[in-house]
Amino acid sequence: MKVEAVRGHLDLILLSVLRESPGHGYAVIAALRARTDGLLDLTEGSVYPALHRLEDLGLLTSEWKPVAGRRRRLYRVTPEGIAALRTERNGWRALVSAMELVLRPGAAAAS
Amino acid sequence: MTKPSSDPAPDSPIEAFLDELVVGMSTRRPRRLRHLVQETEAHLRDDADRAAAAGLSQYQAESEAVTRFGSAADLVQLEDRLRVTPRAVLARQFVSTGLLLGGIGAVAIGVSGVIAAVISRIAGAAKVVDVRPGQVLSAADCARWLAGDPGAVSCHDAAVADWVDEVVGYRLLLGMFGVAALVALLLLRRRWLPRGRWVMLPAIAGDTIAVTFFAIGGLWALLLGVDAVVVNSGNGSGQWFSAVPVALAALAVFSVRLIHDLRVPGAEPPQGAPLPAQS
Repeated sequence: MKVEAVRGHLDLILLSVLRESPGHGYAVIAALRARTDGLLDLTEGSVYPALHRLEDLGLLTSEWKPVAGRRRRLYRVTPEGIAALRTERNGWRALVSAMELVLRPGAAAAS
Repeated sequence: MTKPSSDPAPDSPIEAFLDELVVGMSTRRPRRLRHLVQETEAHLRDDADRAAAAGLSQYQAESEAVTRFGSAADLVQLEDRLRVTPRAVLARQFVSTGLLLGGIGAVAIGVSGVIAAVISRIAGAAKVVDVRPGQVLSAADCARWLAGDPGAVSCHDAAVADWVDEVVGYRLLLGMFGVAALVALLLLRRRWLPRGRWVMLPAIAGDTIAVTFFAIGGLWALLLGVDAVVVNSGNGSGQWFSAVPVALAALAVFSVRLIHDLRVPGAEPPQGAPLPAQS
């Protein structure tokens, strides 16, 4: 899947992955790849600025910890991030529903 | 002088990438740059280790890791976009702090208006505001005041009644603006601020500003009230004394908060429970 397709929803993706399991950037990307069978394969470097931005906004918090011999920055979702995730998720579902109606006008006519 | 054997090879793709990143980010705050480089290096080495474990040479593994990561220039550009956020954060700091402190200050002035009205009722309007010694009331002003207060028996009474109305009325109006500001902040904080926070500034900064503001305001009002007592037998002191208890109450509240801030080290959000280790 093209990166452009998900660029506007990167926040939703990152919050969603980190909500289930706090972790560092590489783990987030690996989890994303595993959950989507590789269909969603972001340019890995683009994830970090997004994580930093979410942290600046107070939606994530981070701490440095040694993991497997390396010092890593571990991110977790804050309560505000959980609220933002809920909002983003609702927005995404509304968008998907709208797109379904647009792409399958027959379904809209039938309902 | 020979290099230590532990140094990576000079043509290491990861080292070259990190060099490029440091150069591109050289204008950043040192800590932010250091953290980004550490984070990026951990990522690249994780990825290279994974590829090397799958059978690639170290050089190939690092090259693939760097390729998957994207260019350093792109990363610098994306990080540059973050510079917009601090400006927005700064604006939110000013607006949220202004709304909170301005709102509380305005509400305090509104409450002082209520107290001034009570003083006027109990002790008479002249205790709230009065003609200053030596002040001359012009005929034109007298005519205007008397026209507005036909029941007044003298120009002095009409003037004082007019001034008291202004003192009370304007303060109550300001108090209502204060309430509106606090309501606006209440609405904005849901979008802007973490739960439990009212301003984006660290609590200690906001509380210090409030303590300073209310201490100076309270002292200023007290001195002007005492001056009115000394110079004008207490007449006109009510407009100042009415503000003193409100300022003192606010000062007490924010002082307690400030002491609490000073006792609790670090204004940063508390660290959560340990995160699970992941590789």
